[in-house]
Amino acid sequence: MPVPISTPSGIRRRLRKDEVFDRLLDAILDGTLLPGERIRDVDLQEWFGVSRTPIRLAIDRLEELRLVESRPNRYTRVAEVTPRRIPQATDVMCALWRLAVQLSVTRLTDDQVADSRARLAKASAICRSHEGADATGLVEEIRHALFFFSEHSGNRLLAEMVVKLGVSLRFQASKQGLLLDGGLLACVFDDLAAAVADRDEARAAAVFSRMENGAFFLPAGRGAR
Amino acid sequence: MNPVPESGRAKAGRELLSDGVRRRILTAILDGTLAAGERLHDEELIVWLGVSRTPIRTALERLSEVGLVEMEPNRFTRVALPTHACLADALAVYATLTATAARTRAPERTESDLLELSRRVARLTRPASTTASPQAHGSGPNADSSGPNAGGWWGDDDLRAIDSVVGFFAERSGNPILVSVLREVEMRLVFFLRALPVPVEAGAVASFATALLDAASDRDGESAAREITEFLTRRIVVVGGPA
Repeated sequence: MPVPISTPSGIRRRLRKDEVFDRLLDAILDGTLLPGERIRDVDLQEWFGVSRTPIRLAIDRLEELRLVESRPNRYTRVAEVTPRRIPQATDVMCALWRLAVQLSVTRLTDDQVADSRARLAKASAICRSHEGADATGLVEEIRHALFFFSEHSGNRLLAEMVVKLGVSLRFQASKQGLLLDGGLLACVFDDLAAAVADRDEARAAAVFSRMENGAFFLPAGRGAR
Repeated sequence: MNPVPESGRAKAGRELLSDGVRRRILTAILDGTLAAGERLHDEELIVWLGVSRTPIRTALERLSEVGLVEMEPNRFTRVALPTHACLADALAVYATLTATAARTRAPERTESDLLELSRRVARLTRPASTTASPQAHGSGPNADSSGPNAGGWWGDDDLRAIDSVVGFFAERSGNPILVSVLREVEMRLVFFLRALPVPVEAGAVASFATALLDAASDRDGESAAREITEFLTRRIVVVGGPA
């Protein structure tokens, strides 16, 4: 599975509906199903060779992840890719990360602080050398650096929401390409690393104010490729 | 989140049936007809809802995705058992989302925003109403309800009124993703706050609302954010305390 969908505690029995979910998820992320493409239960029944129930369940879960959207009696389709959605999602993400950082900075062990600083340093380095619209590698490093905080926040709901929102953000970003302000992001991660080293929760949280309102997107980055 | 399901319109496809079933079970959980921790048996739900097992299972699966139902395959399905730790988690998430919106939006609030917020604050702090601090009544607003959650402190009106003030800037943010994420957290909060006896410090609601209004009036985003966070994560006394 390309993205961490399961909840941290998730030792769930693998049911048939999960397989349908995984395969549909893959199809959406790898472009087998295109953004905005209609999906019909009957087609999927035929494709996967399963009944309608596991398909509806998988579609419901994908809808909660904002990868599928539907209007009752009108359509069910792969989510459309809209430039506006990325800054909207990152604003929410920044609010969640702010809390994650506040909660975890004082809880981290010395080893975890070192781990976190290494991740932030890596994210900062790749941001500094970033150019162009293909931000896949960069997004991966940012995820690696920032999800660390929600995973160590001790707040399960928070960790779950960051993962869920992260999925749709990656989907939107991978389909549109991103023009990111690598220099600004690098500074943000450097400051965050320093605040983590000092276990200064207020300073760590304040870093996210600089990322609000999509501040780290270059103007053209808001447009589709 | 799905918009409010529109069942009963046009063809009653299976997904619409399960939407309706989901809504009915959700309502029953939120209003206490189904108590926290109560076992859910398929046969009883089939009789109660008058539909077959499949839409019921679909609805339960979906409610388990948002943490209101707990399912252990081949063991049990039950209404989730809310804990103070879960409540504290949800309050913290609700706080960061609403406070961040206030931090960025309060500085650009308009005169009509301020007027609307002050209306809502007035509704919240009116002394004789049920929306005042629950302790002012000597007992919770649910005290005379015969539901299983009768011990709860928070009535629907209280929650709605508080949410209308706390969530004011988020609602005005024009960010549909924020609004839908918040809605999901609110649903959990309603469930937790009704199932757990959580009193609020007397007067805390009123002083918070007034302070938020002052911050909005000054276009002071940092203060607005701080007031929201303080109120939600420190003023709402979590009895028994988070783990």
